Amino acid sequence: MRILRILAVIKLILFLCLVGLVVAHLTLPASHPNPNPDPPGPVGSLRVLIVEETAERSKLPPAQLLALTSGDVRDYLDGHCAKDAGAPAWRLLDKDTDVSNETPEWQSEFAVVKAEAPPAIAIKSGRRWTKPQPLPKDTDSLLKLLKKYGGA
Amino acid sequence: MTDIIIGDHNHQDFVDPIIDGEQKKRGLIPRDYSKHPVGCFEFAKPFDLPLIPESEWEDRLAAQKAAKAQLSDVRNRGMNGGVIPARDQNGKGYCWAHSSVSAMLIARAVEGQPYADLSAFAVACIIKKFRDEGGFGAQSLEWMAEHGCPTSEFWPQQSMAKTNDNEAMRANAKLHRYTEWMDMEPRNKAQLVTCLLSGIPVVSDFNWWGHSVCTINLESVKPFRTRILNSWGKWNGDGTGILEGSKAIPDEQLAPRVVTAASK
Repeated sequence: MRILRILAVIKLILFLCLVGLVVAHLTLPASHPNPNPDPPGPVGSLRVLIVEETAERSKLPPAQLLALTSGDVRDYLDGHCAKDAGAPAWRLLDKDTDVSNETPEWQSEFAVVKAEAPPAIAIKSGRRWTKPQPLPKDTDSLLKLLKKYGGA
Repeated sequence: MTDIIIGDHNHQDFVDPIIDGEQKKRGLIPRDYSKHPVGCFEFAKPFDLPLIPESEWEDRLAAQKAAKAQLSDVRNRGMNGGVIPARDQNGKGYCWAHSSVSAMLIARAVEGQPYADLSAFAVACIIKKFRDEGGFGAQSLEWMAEHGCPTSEFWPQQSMAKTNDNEAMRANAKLHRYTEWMDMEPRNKAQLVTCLLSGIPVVSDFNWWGHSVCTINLESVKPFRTRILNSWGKWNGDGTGILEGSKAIPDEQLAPRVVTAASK
């Protein structure tokens, strides 16, 4: 009789654990943010951070290197990024840049993106930054990615 | 505006020229490599970029021009969408500080940092104890790596007033420091081209000219031509000109790669 009671208690505990796991799975956020969480925000709300290793610029594929200073990319960024004190909110920073005098938002996002293999890019459209991803291989693909978040 | 092209045929015309009634000064004291060999500076690494093969220069240059991805393109939009103004050494022998400051202005624009109206006179005046004296590019770069360069709000352009050197100015200067720059082999054309095709400005001292300027573009491979950003104000309209052949290859060349980030 006593053994049956113990078995019943164990079954109850196992059942409660199972319920707990199901509830946790359904309610807790995933450990990695969705890389594409938001639709394009309003024009002028974009923020973009690219982190690179300048010592390796000449090793990049030529088309990817061009994208870093491409006039079309800069036109887009200047026209679609939010303005911080009148200046468009995008940065192309070396992974070893001293950002201690930058705003807290740039500092914290820089720490996230520099942890990835350079060159990497993160974009904020709306409230959240995307998960950093490798910088697209050429100007057209970079513009396509930017337009996905910042609109045409 | 037709570009000024300075080469073997006419370079003497550009040594201390009189423009609009003002004699333009230079101020380079050539670096003595026996005393200051490549790599001797505390904040500078010897050049360490993989070289772009010469066989690729023409194609890469054509692509860079087509994409409007040259440093002159970056400069032309670097002041809140407008052209970053050329510095003006105002008849003083401070070219060697203006070239380094011009390079920092370009480097900040490449990085998307807001325009900061940096004052080269601060760098030169403090290094030379307010005397009008020449120097070479590495002197100013090394100083800017340690102390930085203030904006004109804290040290007005072309001012030599000793009262400018105060605590607030020093704090502002710290916001604009070089943290990584490369000391290149003198007269090494392949290193120069690799920097220019990689979007890295080059502080360039030319012994034939007795002058230090900032090289911003490779303009053509044959003939070999580069575009320089001078510190003679509106020289040739936009402050730039073209050097050709052997006159385009610097006797001292330095490549600033990383600057501090500051939205001020």
